[in-house]
Amino acid sequence: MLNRLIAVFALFCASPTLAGPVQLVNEAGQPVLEGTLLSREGELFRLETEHGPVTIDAGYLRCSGVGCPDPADLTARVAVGGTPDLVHRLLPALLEGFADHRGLVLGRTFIDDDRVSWELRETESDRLLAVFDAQAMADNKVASALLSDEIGLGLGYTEANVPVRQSVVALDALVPAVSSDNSRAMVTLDQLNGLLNGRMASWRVLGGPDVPVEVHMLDGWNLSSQKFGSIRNREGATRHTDPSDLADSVASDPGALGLLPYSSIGNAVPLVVSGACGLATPATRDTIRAEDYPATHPLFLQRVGARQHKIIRDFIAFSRSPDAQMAIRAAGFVDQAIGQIGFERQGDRIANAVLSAGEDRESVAEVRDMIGTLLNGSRLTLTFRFRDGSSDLDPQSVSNIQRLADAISEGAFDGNDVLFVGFSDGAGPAQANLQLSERRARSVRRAVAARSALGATELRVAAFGELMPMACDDTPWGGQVNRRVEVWITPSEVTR
Amino acid sequence: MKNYVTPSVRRWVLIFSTFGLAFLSGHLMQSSRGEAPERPLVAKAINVPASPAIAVALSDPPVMRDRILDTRATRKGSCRPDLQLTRTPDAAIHVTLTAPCHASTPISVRVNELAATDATDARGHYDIRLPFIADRVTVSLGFKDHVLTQTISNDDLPEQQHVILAWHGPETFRIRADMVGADDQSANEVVTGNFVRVGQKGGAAFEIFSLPVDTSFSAGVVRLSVDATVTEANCGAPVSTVAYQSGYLGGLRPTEIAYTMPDCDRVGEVVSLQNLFRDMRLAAR
Repeated sequence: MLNRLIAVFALFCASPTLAGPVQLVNEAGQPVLEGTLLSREGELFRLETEHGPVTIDAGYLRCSGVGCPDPADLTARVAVGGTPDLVHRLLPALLEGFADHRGLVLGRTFIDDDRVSWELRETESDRLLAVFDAQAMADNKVASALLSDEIGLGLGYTEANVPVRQSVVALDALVPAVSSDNSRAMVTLDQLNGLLNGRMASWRVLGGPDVPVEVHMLDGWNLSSQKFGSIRNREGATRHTDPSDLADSVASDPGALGLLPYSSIGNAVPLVVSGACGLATPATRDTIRAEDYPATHPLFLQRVGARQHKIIRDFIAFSRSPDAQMAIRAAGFVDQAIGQIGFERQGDRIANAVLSAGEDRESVAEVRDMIGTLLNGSRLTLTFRFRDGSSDLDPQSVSNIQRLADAISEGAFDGNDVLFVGFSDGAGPAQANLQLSERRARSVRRAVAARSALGATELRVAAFGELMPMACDDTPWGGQVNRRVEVWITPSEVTR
Repeated sequence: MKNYVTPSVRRWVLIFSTFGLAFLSGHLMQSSRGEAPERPLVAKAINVPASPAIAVALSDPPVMRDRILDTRATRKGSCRPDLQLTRTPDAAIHVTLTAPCHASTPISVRVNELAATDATDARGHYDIRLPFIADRVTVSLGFKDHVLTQTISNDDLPEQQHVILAWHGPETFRIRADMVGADDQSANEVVTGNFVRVGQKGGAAFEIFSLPVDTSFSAGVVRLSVDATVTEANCGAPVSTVAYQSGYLGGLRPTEIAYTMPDCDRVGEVVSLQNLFRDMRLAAR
């Protein structure tokens, strides 16, 4: 708070005496408001007008007249804090995308390995529009830095539980990884837990060479490593603050085992984790976007409620837009563009459904019904999943509601039906699971419909209960992966 | 007073004779072709038979004095500066300049938007290899008085990715590429084998590092960093460079980089800037 007071004080001191008439005009050149400028905080102008004093956000307006502030005083400045990978890879990609999108020139000043200052300038006038002072920090420091006003924008892996506004800008996942010299490609969840917590101290236990297991973990990151079992007090693990350093350490040591974000895996190789029933989903761009990989992590762009300059608000809006997705992907993160996976590419999942179905006629009929419903469709990479033990959508899925609604409103699926397909885990009676999965599909359909301009797209619902498991139900993560509402695009029932 | 012809008189004679000839031949040309283009007059005036050197002169007229010097040399042999761009078997560009009358002469080098200053060798040759930094690469080599330009296209070459540092003044930065723990040992050779530096110390220069986008290597990441050497000249001072990297929309994207070098008690140290470039990927994941 003190920082902000000082900033506001400095702003008023730095501004020339505010006097004289000003006219605020919109982008079309039409006058919006006239008067005498009384005071200003950033782009918030307080004017004495013929109707009395008025406070107006001048961010979208142009000021003309002798009383207007020096344009140089209107440069936006924001401190950005986040994990090293997000500050040094995701933020530059977003800023490059934003500069391209707006036709601005981007420059940067290196202060040291942790701090970089980015400048956005107008191409022709060279006027400095915005400065982003970026600083790398531990994931678990981002929220407190936001609350203490040390930073105005945060980039991190942790969902804020404090009064912070946040949006999901990209996706990532926590993956176990080894060196390419380690021949192990797959482990069970139980084996992975044993390797991480020291129960299995040598790779020989898994039939490998007698090489000690060297565990590498991130320091100060709130990643859901508990998904891999209890490893909290792993002694002797090497801790890293930068995931790229962790990846390099793992890649160059055949005995190493690391837990790190998928986006930073570098030349380390991900280990595929299977459940006791044998089902496994490797981490890939598609399985992370679809959240079929269990340890998926959304990346949050966070800010406190305070008013930001228009250009900073525009940057935040850009980072969530479809235009930003290519830049996000090029930086090595998983974007949120909506992809389609054709039925023919889902052989494994269909096989799982057939193998795990009962042998009675009713079960066989259910599988036939499901395949008949989905046969001509494509699954979207966007999936709706729920928080642990709850019917509330998780953060990535909340973000998906608007994303899907926007795509429907833009006519992305015109002429087709959007089918919300509910699935459940296998715990409890099958009939109850079927009803539960249908209820979930209906509630997601309702939420999407409420935000969509439907046009030529019909939203329908189907439910198949526990029919197509994606992971073993014997672990909490497996159940969570199985409880889902998939979205399928199918040929319109009307035209069929 | 042995020498009656002082340098200034010589200059006047030279100018007069040149203009006189120019006037004459211009008159002739006007009568024969019915038009009076200004530039060819000079070329005609020095009575050089239609040669490719004239074509160069026409595109960028030199001052007369140099033209006459060129002519003298032409009588001895070919003085015509010649710029050739050829595609090498390994999909690079071979730039060869032959300029026998411009031995050990400074030249400006432009490769699309990149600029450097360099010099021809004692025989008037200049020879560099460049990667295809774009589908169409235009190379311009300029002497004080004229510029030679050639363009070469990359029709069906495998796509490459590049990072480039461009600077002016003392050499401060060097690109570094590391491939940690790659499962293919030969990948390391690739990482060290694709650097190109153009330009001389003290002038404008640039360094390019290139990698194919898709190779036979298994997926791998090349970490890029920039080493900056702290010297007596730059310690504690601001230094700048322009960094180019293949953008996500394709094409090279420039970013101006500013950095303040460490204090002078660290002269001799090499500072490594880790986050100036994005990592390169050898193969799509």
